[in-house]
Amino acid sequence: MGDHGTNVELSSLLARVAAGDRGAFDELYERVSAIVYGLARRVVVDRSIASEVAQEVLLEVWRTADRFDPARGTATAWIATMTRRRAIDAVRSVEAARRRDSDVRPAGLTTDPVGEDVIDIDERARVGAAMGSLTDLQREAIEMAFYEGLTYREVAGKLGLPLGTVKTRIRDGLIRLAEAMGTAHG
Amino acid sequence: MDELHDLGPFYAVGALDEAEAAAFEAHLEGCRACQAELATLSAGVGALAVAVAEPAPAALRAQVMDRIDAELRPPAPVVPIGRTRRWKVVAAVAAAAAIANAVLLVGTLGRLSEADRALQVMAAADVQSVELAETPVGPVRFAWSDEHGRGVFTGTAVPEIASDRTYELWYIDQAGTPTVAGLFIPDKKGDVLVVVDRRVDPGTVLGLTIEPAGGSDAPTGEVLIAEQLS
Repeated sequence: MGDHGTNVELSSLLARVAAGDRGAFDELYERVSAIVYGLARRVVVDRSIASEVAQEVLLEVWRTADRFDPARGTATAWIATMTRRRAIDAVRSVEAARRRDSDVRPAGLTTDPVGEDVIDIDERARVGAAMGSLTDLQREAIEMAFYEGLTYREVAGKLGLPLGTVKTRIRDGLIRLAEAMGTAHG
Repeated sequence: MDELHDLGPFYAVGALDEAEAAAFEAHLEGCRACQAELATLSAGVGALAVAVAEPAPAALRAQVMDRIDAELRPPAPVVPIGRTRRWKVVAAVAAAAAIANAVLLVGTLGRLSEADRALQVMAAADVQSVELAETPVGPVRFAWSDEHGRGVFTGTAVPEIASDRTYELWYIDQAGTPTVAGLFIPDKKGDVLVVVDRRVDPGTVLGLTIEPAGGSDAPTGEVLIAEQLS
């Protein structure tokens, strides 16, 4: 399944969800729950918190689907950005609550059965290959910002690079990843 | 790097602070070049989520769908205050008091909606509850609703524990397999409110132990509560 097709379908599903189509949401859930949960888990680590975050994000998708504008970016990116924001907020709340800076240790349910969500193996493989093809600096800069929630100044400080260089690394890395997702986006 | 124009890649990966993000968004409204750049980069942002996709827990689906269905359902008709209803009002008031006092910690994320979600359970038509007057952690109550697929644990005199420990709630199924139901640390007054986003299946036992901070995958500490719920 081509990713261009995937995002076009997601866009039209979102449009139907925006109109209150409950069946379209069922379909959308199948298509994005693994992305939402996986990203939440990458950011917060703890399975039960990731599940809480995913639940809130999916509700937000249901409630705000009418705000998605395909001219501004892909449906996957729209949902990913929403997920990342809530996941990082969750990490900060937990950290504040614990009054410490260490990372959240896994406390999840290893026995919890997983759902039968669709993970597009082909797409995942392409993206995995693209991630592997990034330079270390590109990958590090993107991961620090996107998954770990650092600001660009913090990223530059950690990597010991000028801000302009960090920007270039992030932009070039994203473009390479975008190509892996299919060039027809935009 | 002072130019707003230069901030697109940082905005795409969420690396701007709040003020910068707001300024960039204002700029974005009128800048076609930045809009085009972000649209191009967005596929890369999507890839960052695809790269870490992981099947969601099976329970998530029902939790999400239940909440959506609850939103779609028209408000319940007003029921005259009778015996059941009165109990529910009492329960709701008690819950509200607990909510007002409770410090919401791990697992609740301090979201505003938490109190509402607890009240939804307390006010549900099918709410069931167990009150335990005497436990090692004082009087506690657990209320749950199948309709909402959710339970609420409250305590009013839960003793403090060492800072490297956490209380951990469990659902133990008929086969004896424990599932994490939540972590909590009481506030100074001993108030606790934990919303458990998990259905109480027939035969479920509610458990409570003390675990190392961050929680355990299975109970390791002394069992403080083990109560058959249904």
